[in-house]
Amino acid sequence: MNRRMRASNCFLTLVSTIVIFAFPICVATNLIAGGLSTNLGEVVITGLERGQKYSLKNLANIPLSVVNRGEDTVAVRICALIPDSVELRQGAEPIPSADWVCLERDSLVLAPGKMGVSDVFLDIPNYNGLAGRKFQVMLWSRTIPGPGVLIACGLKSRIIFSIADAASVDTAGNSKNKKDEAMVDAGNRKSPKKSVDPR
Amino acid sequence: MFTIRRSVALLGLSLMLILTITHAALAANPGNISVTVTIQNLSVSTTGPIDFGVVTAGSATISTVSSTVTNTGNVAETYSINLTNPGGWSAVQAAPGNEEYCLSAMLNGTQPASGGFVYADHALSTTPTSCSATKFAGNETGVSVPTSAERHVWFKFEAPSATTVTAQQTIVATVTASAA
Repeated sequence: MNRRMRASNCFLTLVSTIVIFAFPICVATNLIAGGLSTNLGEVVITGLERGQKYSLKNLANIPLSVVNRGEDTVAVRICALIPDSVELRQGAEPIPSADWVCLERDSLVLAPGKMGVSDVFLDIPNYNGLAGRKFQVMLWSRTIPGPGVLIACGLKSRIIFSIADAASVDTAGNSKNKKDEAMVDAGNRKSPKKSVDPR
Repeated sequence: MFTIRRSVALLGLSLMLILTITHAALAANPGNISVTVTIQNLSVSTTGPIDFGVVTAGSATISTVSSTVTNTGNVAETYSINLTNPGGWSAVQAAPGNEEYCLSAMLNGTQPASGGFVYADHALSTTPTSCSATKFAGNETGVSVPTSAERHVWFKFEAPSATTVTAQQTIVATVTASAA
């Protein structure tokens, strides 16, 4: 028994020793400055029609552009997020599914001072229950730090869009629409969820 | 020769068809759609990295320097903060157990005391969480930060109570700005 306890103590001591020397989270003296900027802080679009796919570039000549304001080349990843309740503005409700939004490019590699551009597409399902409703989605652009860089920066662009009141006929038997309908209904009952982070 | 010409012609026709279909798939901008761009420049910069030095198992360490976050845009911004887990460890918002850690963030002008960090208000998760009057707040907040204003982010790292991971770990904290 004593031998077993001694062995256990030796193991713990060994683990502690390893841990003491294995936890350098970061030892660095130089401060690294990183920065991002975008022209797309907030966009409000009204009158979108169900069953249509829109390009932000075509609608308003404002694709999502991101500029690397840092001192090093960075990888930037972009994804659509369902907003938190505290992020909602102008009476909008969270977009039922981040799948309504797709990007021309979801990752960029930017040298210092350089700008990357991606068009943003809104794909509105053809579902009657959407008429007259206002939704919000966030576009999250963020740097993916390289080795040794432990703080990253990001931007959330807000897109608020409303669906036209005009009623149109649902396409019967369209499974995608049925799925979207289900999502919208579920969105009305449940608290909003974050989209899956593609990291 | 005829075959080549026919192939080129077919290719051209195919391209035209593809372009036509692509164009038709996107709705045009009819007169009843209005677009308003209310904010022109959202921008943020950060300094780092976070320096924790050497940390022992089961201990807590506060960074000795802050990371400065600056609103370099032309509108007030609200920040949200999240982290990315290193391989082998998971972030928790409580006292960490084996293979768990807690990274907390506080906006404060000077280095905060360890007791100032509260799990409910300061512990980070992988989900970007918006700053509020209490969330990540010290004597500064990340809410409606004016243009050119700076905020100082201090981090507290609580190490796993025990771990089998022996390699150096990298935890990335991301500060995200959105228009206030």
